[in-house]
Amino acid sequence: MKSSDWKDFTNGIVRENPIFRLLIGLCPALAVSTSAVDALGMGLATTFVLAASNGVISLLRTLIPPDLRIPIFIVVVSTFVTAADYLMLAFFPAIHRSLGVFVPLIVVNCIVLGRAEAFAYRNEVRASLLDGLGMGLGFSLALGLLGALREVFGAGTLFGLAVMPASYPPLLLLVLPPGAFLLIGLLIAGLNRFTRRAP
Amino acid sequence: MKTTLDAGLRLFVVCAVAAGTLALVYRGTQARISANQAEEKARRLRWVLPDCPQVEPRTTEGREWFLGRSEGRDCGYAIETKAKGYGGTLSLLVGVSPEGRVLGYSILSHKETPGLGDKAAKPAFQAQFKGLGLEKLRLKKDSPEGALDALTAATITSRAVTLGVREAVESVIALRAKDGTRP
Repeated sequence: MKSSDWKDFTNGIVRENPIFRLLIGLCPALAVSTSAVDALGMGLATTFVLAASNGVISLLRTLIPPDLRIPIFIVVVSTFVTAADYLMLAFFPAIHRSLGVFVPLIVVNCIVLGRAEAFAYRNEVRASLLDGLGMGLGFSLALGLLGALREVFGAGTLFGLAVMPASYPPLLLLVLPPGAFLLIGLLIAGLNRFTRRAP
Repeated sequence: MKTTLDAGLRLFVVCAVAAGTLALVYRGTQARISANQAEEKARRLRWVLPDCPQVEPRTTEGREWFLGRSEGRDCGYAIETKAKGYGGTLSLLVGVSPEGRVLGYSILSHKETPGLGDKAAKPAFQAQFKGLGLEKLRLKKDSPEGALDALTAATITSRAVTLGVREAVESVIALRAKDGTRP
């Protein structure tokens, strides 16, 4: 593995993490992170779509005229989203049921179109696949962290198993939408505190 | 002209390949998706009609319902109802005994608040309904005869589930009256 490969792969996980750094794709991140299972299911489905559409778009990039690129990106992305929808219905019906409408809505997740435009259209297939995987994993990790924290403190469970003592009163605010906003703000603030150097 | 044709052709090829890919994925997953849905339905029917080994689908006046049979006797009825919840329509599958008492229910779909209203699907709330007839199927806070405690901070959801279950019991009683073969 070349060092540039590693850089492409980790870019989305750390330096340009979609949720914590680029602040894109926040809608699904806020909506489906009420439990760890849902959050990871959403993260993995998005990773599949990101890697696959990045790969295909990079493969076709010399054949796509610049003024046609957006409609072609959308066709490619929506094909993979629909495929992911069918595959989840067939193999993970329980997760599909709790994610509901947010699976088809991956198509409008701006990370997917954003990476197609900013990366896959200008880079080789290998680098684009790695970028898609890295971005997807970065998104999944951020979602998983949010989901786990909201589930543990908001419901007292993790992956559906009780982890808090029975006397712990669940902090309902965290499972409700405002809790997601507050928690994501706190996480970003915390990350900035530890990663950013003092001016 | 030439570039328009060229652009149209490129778009056409991309769309054709996309449609072909989706057709393949659809064919590959369809059998499994239908099997999942059938299994899910059977699981819900077993849940709302726990003591009925056989369940037969029936239709009366355009409304679908299920007849549970055990050792040659009718042991329960299951019917789908809808009620207006806090976030949108709640749809329920309710099991009712031949005496008009609730056997159990299963929430087919809902848009209730996570962490509050969605607790209506939990066994602790459901258990209260078991064995109740129409007269007791009310929230305690709504009626002195009621036997049901509402969920904390989710009265509207609790009321919706109660109404949905009531509607199912009433429908089953009406269906039994119409379905002449089964007095």
